[in-house]
Amino acid sequence: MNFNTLNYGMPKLWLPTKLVLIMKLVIIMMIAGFLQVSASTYAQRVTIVEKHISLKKVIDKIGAQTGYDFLFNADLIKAAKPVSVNLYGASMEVALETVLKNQNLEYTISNNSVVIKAKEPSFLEKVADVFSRMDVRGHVTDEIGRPLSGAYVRTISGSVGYVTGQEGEFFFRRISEKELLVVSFIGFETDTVKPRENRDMIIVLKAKINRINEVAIVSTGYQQLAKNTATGAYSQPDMEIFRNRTGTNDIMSRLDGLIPGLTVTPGGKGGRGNQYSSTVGTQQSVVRGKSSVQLPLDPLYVVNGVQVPDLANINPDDVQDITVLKDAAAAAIWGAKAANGVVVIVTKMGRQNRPVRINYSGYVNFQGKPDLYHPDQLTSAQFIQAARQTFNPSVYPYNQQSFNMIAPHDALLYGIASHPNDGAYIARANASLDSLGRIDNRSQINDLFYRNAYTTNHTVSASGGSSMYNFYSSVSYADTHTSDIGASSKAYRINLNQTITPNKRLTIGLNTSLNNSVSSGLTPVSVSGTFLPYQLFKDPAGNNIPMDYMFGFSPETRANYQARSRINLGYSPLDELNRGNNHNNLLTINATGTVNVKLIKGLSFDGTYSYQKSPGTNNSYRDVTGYAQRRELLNFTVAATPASTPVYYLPTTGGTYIANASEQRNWTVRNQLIYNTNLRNNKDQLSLQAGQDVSENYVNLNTNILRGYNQDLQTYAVLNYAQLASGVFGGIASGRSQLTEKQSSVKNELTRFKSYYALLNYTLDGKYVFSSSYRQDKSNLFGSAQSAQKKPTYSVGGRWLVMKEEFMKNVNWLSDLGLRATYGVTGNSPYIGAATTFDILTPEVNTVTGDALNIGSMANNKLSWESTKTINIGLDFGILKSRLNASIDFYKKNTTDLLGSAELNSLAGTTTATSNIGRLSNKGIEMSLRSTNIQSRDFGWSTSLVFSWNTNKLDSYYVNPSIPTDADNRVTASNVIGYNTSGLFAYRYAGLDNMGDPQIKLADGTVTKEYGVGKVEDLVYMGTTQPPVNGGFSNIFRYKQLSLSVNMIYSLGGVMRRNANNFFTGRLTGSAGSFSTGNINAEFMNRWKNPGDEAFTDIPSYVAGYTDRRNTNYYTYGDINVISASYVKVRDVTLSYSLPPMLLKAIRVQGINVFVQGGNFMVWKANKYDVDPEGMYTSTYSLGANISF
Amino acid sequence: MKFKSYITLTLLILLGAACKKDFLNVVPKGKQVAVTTQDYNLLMNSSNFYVLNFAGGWQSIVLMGDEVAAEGSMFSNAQVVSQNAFKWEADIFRSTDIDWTARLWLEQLYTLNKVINEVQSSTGGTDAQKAQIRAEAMANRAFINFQFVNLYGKPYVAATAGTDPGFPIITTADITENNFIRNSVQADYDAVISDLNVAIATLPAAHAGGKTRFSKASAEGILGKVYLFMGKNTEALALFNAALNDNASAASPAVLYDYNTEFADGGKFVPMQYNGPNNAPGNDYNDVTESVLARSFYNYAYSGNGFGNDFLVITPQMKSLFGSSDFRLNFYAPQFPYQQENPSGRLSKYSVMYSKFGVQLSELYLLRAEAKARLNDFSGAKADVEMLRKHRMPVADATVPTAAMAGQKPLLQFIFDERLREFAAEGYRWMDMRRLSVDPLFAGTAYMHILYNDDVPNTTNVTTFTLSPARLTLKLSPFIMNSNKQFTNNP
Repeated sequence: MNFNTLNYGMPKLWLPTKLVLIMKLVIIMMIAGFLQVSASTYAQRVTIVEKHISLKKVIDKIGAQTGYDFLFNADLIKAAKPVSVNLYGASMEVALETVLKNQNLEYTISNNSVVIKAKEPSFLEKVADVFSRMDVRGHVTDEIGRPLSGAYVRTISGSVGYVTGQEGEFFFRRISEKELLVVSFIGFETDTVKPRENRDMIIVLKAKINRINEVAIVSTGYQQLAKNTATGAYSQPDMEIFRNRTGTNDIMSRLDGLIPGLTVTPGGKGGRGNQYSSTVGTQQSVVRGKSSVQLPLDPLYVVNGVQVPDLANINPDDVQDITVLKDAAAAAIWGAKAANGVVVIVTKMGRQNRPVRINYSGYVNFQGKPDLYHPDQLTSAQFIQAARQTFNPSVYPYNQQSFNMIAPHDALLYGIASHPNDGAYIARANASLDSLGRIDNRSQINDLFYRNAYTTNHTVSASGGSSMYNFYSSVSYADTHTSDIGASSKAYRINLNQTITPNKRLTIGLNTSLNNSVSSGLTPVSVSGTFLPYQLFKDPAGNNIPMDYMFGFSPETRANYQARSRINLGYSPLDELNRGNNHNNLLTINATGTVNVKLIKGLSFDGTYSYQKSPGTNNSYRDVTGYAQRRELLNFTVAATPASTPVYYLPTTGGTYIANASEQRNWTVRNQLIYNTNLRNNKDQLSLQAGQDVSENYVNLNTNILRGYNQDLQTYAVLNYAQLASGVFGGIASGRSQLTEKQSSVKNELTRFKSYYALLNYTLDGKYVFSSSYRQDKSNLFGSAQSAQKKPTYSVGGRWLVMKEEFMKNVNWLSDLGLRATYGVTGNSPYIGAATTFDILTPEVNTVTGDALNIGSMANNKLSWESTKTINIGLDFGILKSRLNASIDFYKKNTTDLLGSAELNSLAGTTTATSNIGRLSNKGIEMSLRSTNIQSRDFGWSTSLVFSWNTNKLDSYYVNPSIPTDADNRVTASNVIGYNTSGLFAYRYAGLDNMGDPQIKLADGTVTKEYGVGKVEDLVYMGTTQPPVNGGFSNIFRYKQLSLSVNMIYSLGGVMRRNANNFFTGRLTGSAGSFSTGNINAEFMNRWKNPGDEAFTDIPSYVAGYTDRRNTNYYTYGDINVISASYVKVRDVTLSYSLPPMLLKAIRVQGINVFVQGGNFMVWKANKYDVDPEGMYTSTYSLGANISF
Repeated sequence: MKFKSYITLTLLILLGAACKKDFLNVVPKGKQVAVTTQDYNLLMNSSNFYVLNFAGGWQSIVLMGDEVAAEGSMFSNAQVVSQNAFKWEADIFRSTDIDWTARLWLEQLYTLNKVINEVQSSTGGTDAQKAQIRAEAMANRAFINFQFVNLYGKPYVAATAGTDPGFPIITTADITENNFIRNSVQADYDAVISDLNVAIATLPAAHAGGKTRFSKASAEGILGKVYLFMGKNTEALALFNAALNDNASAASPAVLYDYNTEFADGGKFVPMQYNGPNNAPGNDYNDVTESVLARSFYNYAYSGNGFGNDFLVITPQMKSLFGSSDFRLNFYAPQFPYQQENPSGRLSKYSVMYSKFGVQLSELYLLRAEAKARLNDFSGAKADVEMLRKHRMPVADATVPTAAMAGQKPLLQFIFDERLREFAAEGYRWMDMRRLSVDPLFAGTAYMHILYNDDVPNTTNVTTFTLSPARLTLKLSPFIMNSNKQFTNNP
């Protein structure tokens, strides 16, 4: 082998370029350092402002800005006159026209290259030309072969033009063979082709990716469809907003308010996500309302045609486009898992015949610290006052509190009670209480337990290609710096997408990616604003304050245990931080290969082969010095008296080290045949597709627990697990202690799916589209009884392209009009182990009587997956030459065989089992509207509005016979037949009586406070907690180099219960070990205190001890505490600035864009209690930049 | 050529993908289904059968025996179900309460019926192994059904048993089954006897898996008890003899702890801790020294589910049954759970966290003594009682007093008192109260419960509850009635 031939070398010519490169890198670092970043798109627009500059230079600039190659005779250009240009965002055609005006030159564009030549042919050429004229005929189609009627085909010299007919056909008589044909059509990229004689030329136009006009191609993961001929309900977000939304790196969160019918759920991540090792997961979301009651509601995620468990491994900067499949015609091809909708993501690819482009984007987003001031709690002074008022040592005697927390104020109050005649003691204790009332610990909590949170993401990408090979590759780094002290979470990603086209029959694609997420943390306690308000954590000298009371031993007990065990039982939360740590490391390697072979005319084979492997480790260490470890050790220490030598049954040094190793292996193989043909003399198009999809997910988990682990020596203690499992007697504080943990455990799980599917599309006369799909899924989840799985999913749909009709010819104000209607069935399959047709056994590890098996889930033969039938009717239209585009959809979804837990006949041996237990229906309206309001050279304004309305109703459902249908149960019930699945009920609150007890009004008008008197009809239905209306409203303004985008989201019509005071009995104190309890709602101050107060307040009185004379839920679950959850927020507002061309020229960079962004500002909310229905009280701010070379 | 090779390749791929028929026929590891005989054997080895470690078993009837009383300060904070049980309320459970007693045993019945119905067709075992596993499951089923009929059916009276409603006999493992009927008490007893007879004929004298598994000796012990409950004393005696013989011949037989040794220096139960002799078997369900068949239930403070005995003390009458040298008094102290002192000085059983209610050797001796006494073999009965007593107190004090030997009734009374001394506050008494109520010798006894309203010794501030005879038969809980509306509940 001769490696010397591997010459990627740079010719000497590049040396100065290298200098430029270094300069560019310096600039990146400077900008990234100060600002940090996001992306923007680069249309092939030309901006040049120059006076008296050589034509060569201008052409170089145009080439650099557009990526086109220029071919010309250097002498010819040198001889040209210098030019003055003044171009802002001009198309290349306009730019070329401008600079070549008055020159003796002309240009032709073909295949990403521009040829410039002398304008006037010689006489000889003219003669030859006459003889080389020819007749040219052909058709213009879109990428999937549909004829484009009304396209404009002209010769480049401009001498002849032709508007294509019904079938996209055109014809030119006797044009020069040196002519080129320029083909243009609204919504498509203009193409220039060389004419050919005597054959039917097919000119394929590429859909134009344009932000204001609808993106023309939708992807289902199986097919690419032209949106204006698709039958199903597809939605795509505004990708510019998506890319700029740097408040989060989570892909679903970035879609908030951008997709009609997609509601992103505030709060935790999870759902279908990676349940074994992922530290992140994907934000939950719901498409078109809840169509399931007990199964996860998250949509199915598909990346580059392959289903993935979550989107945590995808860098948002790598996303090319996103399509959300909503109705059956769109989603049924994903079968038994598609009832919740499908989110299809296509990552960026290189393009053919493009020079290599390098792009950097990065940002930093600041989130600050958690808000300790919401919800509103008692101040320390109020707290001490309330504690004095509610203190009741006869109802709560000291000797019954042996296992409860005695907080400092409790100790003082009990002290006062036990020294009734010691005036000096009482005065001292009162003074101490008063001094507690003067302390506010929240600034200490803020300083000592939290740090400022931020996230940052940096991506460097490169893309380019030749005619046979193209690629996109990116390297990125993301750092999620949470507010938890000592925590670290970082992700590193490398991505390479390649396409190889060795000949015209074969296309090979290869997407490879490598993700590594590394996180670690210490063991801080999590202190919230609801903790005891006066308890400080550090004294003025900077020492950690001991808080030995936190875990509920009385001082006497603690002293006794400490003396016997010789284990220190002191506690201070700040000491705990470094007494343990966690380290997670997850590597995900993904490779997806695609092959497309054109077999015979119209028929091609398409294969997708994907393999993903993700090994991960999750290790934690807890040192024996940690309080929980000391307490555990205490339970395993036997010492009858302080004099006896303690016997320790667990190690007293080192710590507990838990090592989890997980590995997931998923693969998918898809083979399909695709057949496209034209029928009836090209009047009709038929497309058929059929294939098989096979996938396997394998998970393996190993856990090892090492006790007495020495981190430095990596040694551990060998324990007698058999003895520990049968119990240690006489343990201090426990009597008998048992350690049932398994030193090591192994678990593996295998899930397999096998599916067959077929797709059909038929277009009649270019006006009527019919589509259909069919799929059958089988899996091993239900044991081997596959007969239970013969339940196919299918869809049918149609579209009428009204504008193509004869009678619409003269309607000029309408630029597009389409009507869609679809029907179909999709499924929702339970997770593994949810139900089986066999008794599934689970192992029991028992060191005393030997290992055993238990029945983990009992067989249920009468089970099938949930199925959802969807009807969708849609209307798409564009008016005023597509200045305004809109889509409206109406749908109705009926879900049957809802899976859920139902109580069975208890005599049959189980109380509940997963069963098919009900039906529900959803209906809704969705609308998206995009309009270009103003479009001029310096100023632009565009608006988009996304609206969705959904309501659902539970038509039938299992009713648990053991739960009485009375008001007290219904008021907290969800899933009530005949109501929305998120319905909310409340008591009709009727104020307080003269004892400060809450009363309700019954249906018959009676006012009562009697416990348990309410019937279902005495409640009032307040509405739904799932807001029926939501969506987004975006405005983008551009002024010269500045752009401002304001994206609002809204959520209307929902209700929620507010956090009213619910402290009406019991001791005012925290619960042992909890740093989030202690304080109570500030409204407690306004409670009923004396007869007559009922005239001013609705808040019930405090009563020490249990009483059945009243039910305080009448207040907390009363209608007065149900408030509207409607709100409008600015999700993000972004101001960005693109550097002007003059500056770019000086630093030889193609484009620099910097921006600032703010997120999460409340605009309006329909409640007066200052409650954020999303619970996100803090705003976030970002800075970012995007640089392209 | 090149073009053809593409087509060939494509066809090969399509063909390759189409085969592999067994692709979906895999059962994920860690989630297996029962196939081999060993799988069924392991199912029978489940700890669910031998320890009800948080609720269930005899928890409720512990609170209903007449040897216990309640301390008011703890009673008022107790769970409503526990209060109801103590007060002998007709409805112990509210409709939302889970009846763990029935629930846990019904879950076990599912597994047992699965084993009984399926083990014969399992693979990899001999016919003898399969028969033994099936017999063991049947014995277990009989044990549970015997509990059910004694909770929810009237005490056995031969004349009316054929019409007294009992508990459904469940023989299938199918969660969708819905057509249950209440079989008669007689049918229940017949089913129990039939299952146990199969077990006795098939099981080995002792199970190789230890005393948590059914053996011939334990099946004989249970069947003897069943016959004694039916008044068939001769049959019962024969089975008790067989059970004791088979136990004695086992490789590691059940033996009695000698408290004279265990409470002496160096004994197992010393030193006494703040919670008593906590090395005694009452704190360890794995200590099966005295068990022929080990079955335990959680009998301590409220665990978060089921009942709790937090408020329970023994009555002064019960306390007076103990002789001063009886070591069994060491298991009592004026102390509530979690080492809280009881200022009234009344005693609680404070070192039994798990009560054993399978076949205890001590009970076998007492049951055989009872059978002998009923068959007028007084000296035989005396020998059996003393066999136990001399392991519980100094030998000098172990002799049955002369007064007790005066006749059948005083001797039986002494034996029942001995049962109380051995098993107070562990649920045995309720079963005895039931059968004594239909025993002509003892009929007409009135039972009362005392709730002490003050935490002081010898208080007179008490509330009393009287047991009406109907309450000896528990009502089926809403847990069962809700899904079986066709049942007529007990009055």
